[in-house]
Amino acid sequence: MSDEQTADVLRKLGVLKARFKEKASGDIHMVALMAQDAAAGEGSLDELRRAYQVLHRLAGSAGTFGFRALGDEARALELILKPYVEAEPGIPEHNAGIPKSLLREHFIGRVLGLENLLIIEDDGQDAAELFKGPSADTSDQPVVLIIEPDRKAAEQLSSALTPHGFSIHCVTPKDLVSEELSRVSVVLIRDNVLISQEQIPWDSGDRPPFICISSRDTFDERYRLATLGVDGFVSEPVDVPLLVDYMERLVDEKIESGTGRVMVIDDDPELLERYSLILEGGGLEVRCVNSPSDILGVLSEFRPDIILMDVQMGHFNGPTLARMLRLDPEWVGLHIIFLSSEEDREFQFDALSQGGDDFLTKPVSDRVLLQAAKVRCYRARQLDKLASRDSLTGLLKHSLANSEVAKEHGRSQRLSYPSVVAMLDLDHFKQVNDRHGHRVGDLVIKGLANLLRHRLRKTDVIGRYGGEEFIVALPNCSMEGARQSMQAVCERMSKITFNGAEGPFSVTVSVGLAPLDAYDKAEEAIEAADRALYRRKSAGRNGVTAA
Amino acid sequence: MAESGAPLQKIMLVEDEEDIRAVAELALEAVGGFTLKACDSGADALENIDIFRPQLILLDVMMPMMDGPSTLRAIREKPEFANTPAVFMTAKVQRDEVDGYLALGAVDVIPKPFDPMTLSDRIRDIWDKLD
Repeated sequence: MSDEQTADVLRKLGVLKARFKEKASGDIHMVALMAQDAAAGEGSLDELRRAYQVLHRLAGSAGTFGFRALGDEARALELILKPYVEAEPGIPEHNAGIPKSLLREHFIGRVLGLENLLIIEDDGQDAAELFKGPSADTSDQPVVLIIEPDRKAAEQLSSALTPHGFSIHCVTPKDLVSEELSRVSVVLIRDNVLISQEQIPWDSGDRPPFICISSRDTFDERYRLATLGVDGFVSEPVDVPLLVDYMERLVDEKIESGTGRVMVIDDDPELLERYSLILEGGGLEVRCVNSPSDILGVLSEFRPDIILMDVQMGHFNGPTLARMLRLDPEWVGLHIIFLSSEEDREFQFDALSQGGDDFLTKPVSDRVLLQAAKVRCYRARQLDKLASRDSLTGLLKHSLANSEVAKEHGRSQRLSYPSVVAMLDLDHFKQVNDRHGHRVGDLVIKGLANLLRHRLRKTDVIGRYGGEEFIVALPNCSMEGARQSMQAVCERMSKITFNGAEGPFSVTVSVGLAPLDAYDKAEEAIEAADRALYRRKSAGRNGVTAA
Repeated sequence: MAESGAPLQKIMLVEDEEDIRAVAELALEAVGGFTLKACDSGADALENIDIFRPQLILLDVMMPMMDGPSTLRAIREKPEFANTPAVFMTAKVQRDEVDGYLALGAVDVIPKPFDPMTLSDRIRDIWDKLD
């Protein structure tokens, strides 16, 4: 198809989408009315069957028009009705079971929630964006759950957060129970819901962070929310970019605090097995070493965050092994923890002075061992990040980004697939800093960084090149695919509203692209992308230009 | 390749829902370049099939009056279309449901929702894999 034909198809799809939306809204109301009758025990089986058919239709068609979450939810509701609709008519026990079952599943609330999804998922995207481009896979987007009884407020918050690259779901407090919290990255919850609702799963170990949106920023209120166990607090009016930054940090901490790589060195195979069971059970990656002479080989292959080591292993001595490891500059920063039944403080200090970092006294309880390992893994990763990641955005630093792009250049030439390098620069950024101050300027930079992280694939390389300049490498991606996905980034960025000293404003971004595999050296491709970026700047900014 | 190597040109779609018919028309005609006859019911399909003579039939499963499987059974009674490849389109289905459709003589099942920009490719793939 020519570009013109494609544009025509997309325009027509847009018209059909609008028509679908209007019709779906009517359908949802009809199903809600029927469900109300059924729940009151007044509906007929025919009515229920009609509701079932409408839900089935929505389940099959909504996704085609870009309303994926709506389609999924309609399918879930359809399945709740299925057993009653397919049952032999006239079995009284069955009909009597309908009202209870509908109540149990919060059926009516969820049907009404479909209308919400219809509004939320239609965030003004044009039809082209409905169907994901090659590197605009949104399935990796963090899911944010908004629990806000005021539908209008929920919609406002949702549409302000969507451009930042989150996938938003709004639920009523009642529906929270049925919502799968394991797929959710952050929960935003309204303060007044926290007073009246008891069913919020504060205790479930693996729940996402909860941020409370409060209308009263007082000591008493903050203390009350802390007692309930919330992880974050924002007061109204909500400053969206600040909230986004907050969410990113909590999500990051949550992910980082649960993972890590631990190498355990002990000459007792039974103890090794026990440690490994405890640590792996807690979600850590574990490598056991039974014989100290294997340490160096395993170390360079496994690259652990921390080492847990027995103090005395046959004729090998733990502190001496630690000292030996420190002889190699590569392992100077590695965190080493001794496990020992030795309680003599003098002995412990002596062991630490030789190159260990910490002591855990045996016998150690499962819980303490796991917690100690997790906390230290987390710290070790944070330290590593400081060295390789840009502190403001968490993206790769200049030099590391360059070497990652060079690696990708090599791979794409070796395996002969197309890859693209992109240079991005925020437009008129100096004015943002001058007018609104550096604090706001930093939020703008973080905004673009978060957007890139959410909109691009996990395999894409993203780095902060300096100031307001970013570099991206898109492996296995055509120039056209890269152009589309970068154009989507530009459009999203321009829709984000920041709050500055002189009122709300938005910032655009310019992008230059070059085919990474077409140049002999990665630096040449980067330079070509940079030249394309400057052509974009002189051609009016806010958009994408290819070399 | 079906029917002695002839390229796929004529597709009949049986789908009761107007919106989906409209999107499928765009997807198969404008995007895919096929000639499409869209029917809004099983009865409509039976009425038109002798004149249109499709090479492949796309059927929605759940339709009022005559559903997809019944429509296919009725089409199969016409000797001329006893072997015309048929493909069902249906909202996310369980494995055993798919097997049931294949047992009815369908060559494949396309899950709904479908992506209008790639539907044609999907159908062309199915066609190319036929003996």
